[in-house]
Amino acid sequence: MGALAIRTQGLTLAYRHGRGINDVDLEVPAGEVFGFLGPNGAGKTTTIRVLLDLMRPTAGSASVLGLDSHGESLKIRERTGYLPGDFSLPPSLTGAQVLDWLSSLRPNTPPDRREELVQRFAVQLDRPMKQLSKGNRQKIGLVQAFQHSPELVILDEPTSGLDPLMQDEFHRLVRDYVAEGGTVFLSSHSLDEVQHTADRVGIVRDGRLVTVETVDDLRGRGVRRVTLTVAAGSGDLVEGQLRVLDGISDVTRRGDVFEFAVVGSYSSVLAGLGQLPVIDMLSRAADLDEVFLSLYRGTDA
Amino acid sequence: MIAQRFPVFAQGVRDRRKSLVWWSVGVTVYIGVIAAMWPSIRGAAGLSDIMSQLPQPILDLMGASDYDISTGAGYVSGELFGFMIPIFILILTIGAGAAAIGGAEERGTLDLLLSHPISRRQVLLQSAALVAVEALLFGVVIVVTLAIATPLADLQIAFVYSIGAAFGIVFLGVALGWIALAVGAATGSRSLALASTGSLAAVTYLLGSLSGLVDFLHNAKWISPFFYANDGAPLVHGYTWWHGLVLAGVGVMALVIGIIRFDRRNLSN
Repeated sequence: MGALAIRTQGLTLAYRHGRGINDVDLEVPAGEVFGFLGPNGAGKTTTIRVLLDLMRPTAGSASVLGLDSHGESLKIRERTGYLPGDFSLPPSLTGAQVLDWLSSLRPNTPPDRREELVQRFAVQLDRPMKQLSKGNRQKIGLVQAFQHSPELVILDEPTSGLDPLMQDEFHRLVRDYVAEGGTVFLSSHSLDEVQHTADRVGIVRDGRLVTVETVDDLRGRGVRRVTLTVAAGSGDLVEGQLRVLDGISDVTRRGDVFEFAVVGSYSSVLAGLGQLPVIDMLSRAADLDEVFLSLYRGTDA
Repeated sequence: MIAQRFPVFAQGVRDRRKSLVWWSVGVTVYIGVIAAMWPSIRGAAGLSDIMSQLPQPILDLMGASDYDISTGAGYVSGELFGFMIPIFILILTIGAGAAAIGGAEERGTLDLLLSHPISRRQVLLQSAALVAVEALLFGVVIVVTLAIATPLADLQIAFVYSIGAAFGIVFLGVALGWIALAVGAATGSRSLALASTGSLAAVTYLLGSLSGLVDFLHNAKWISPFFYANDGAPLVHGYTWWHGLVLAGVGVMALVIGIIRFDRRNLSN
């Protein structure tokens, strides 16, 4: 602990199609599982690819395992495993050939580790890539990222294409790996997906890091979802009232039924609703994805 | 051993093994057929007479002014080395060069490769070695086939000259293959590498073959890689070895530029 596995300072990359990143400051301590969240095109992949020297920042700097992301990239890559978000493998090679080839690029790959991972994910080693489904290729991608027992793994959308059983196995793998001292940096567009494994999450939006919080803090933001049913015919009146009320956001309406999120104090919301013909009101804690969405919308204005 | 020290090269060999075998078979058959026709063509009366009556510009355009097409070596030189053999090797090496990095990037396999502890420079150099080895294999096939065909079809080609002629072709293939590799590495586009190098070959070939005909293009042959591969009918008169150095130099220059561009750029995913 104490040492930083990943650190970026003012990391900026102006890139065509607006997929760049802007002034990203990130610190991921060794031993942590860090979830890097954002919608597609927010800059997650760009950030990751800068860490691996596949792209070069236009300003700022990044260091991985204490090494400069550009100048010492070879050393970084020796000690890091990477699963690209969108990758292909030579279509005519079998799983075994792919894994052999990739480990030939790393002179000191321990042989028994792969076997364990292959068992774990029930990887099909004898079929060529072109015959494998997306999920089965993804499993091979995961095996190659972990097979040399790296100190840090960087995974871009690791669970995409995996069935729920395998997603579960992946989460177990992450926990075991961290228990052995590894560090995980994984990206996802769904908070739901990382909340069981990640210690902290960073949320990116339009190339900027919006917030970094622990999963617990994020959950504790106290966002609640309310479903409100009002007397028939009073929908327009209620809608007008809800629009001007403080402390709620994200109002949607279906006839006489409204849904909204309460972000601020409940009592002021209740006071505002007091004069209205409310028939039923249902309130529940928002799940993390809704928190995530409200964070997004919150920064819209 | 090679697989450990040069993993990209070794993987390239594995990938292309099958197609290289077919290429070798195809080239052998093609040369064999051309050679097999020689005894009957030589027998046809008056070939030499016809040739001698053609005006010099036409002979130039046919690439037939350097040698006597009525001899076996001249015939093979004209039929094979003037056009088809260079085309074959260029398809092979330009294809291999463009696929190596530009193709890998387009297919989406380059990211994974370069996330391993191997430098971009290594990837490019090992790919360049692959292109060179493919060209060399092609040259060996030419030499061996000609060595077998020469006594069978009474071609009267000197073994040493066939080696020189094959080297000219190998140098041509390596130079343009490396240009395609460099363009692919610099741009990340296989199609751009293919199109630009292919056009370069076509235009320089045309300029080179017109240079004997058109006065103001008189010096154009000096920019044609085909001139440095095949000028003066190496199969008949021997290869001008410094021509090979010119081609090798062009190839090396392309590689250097390719490395510099490749090293500095953002890879696309």
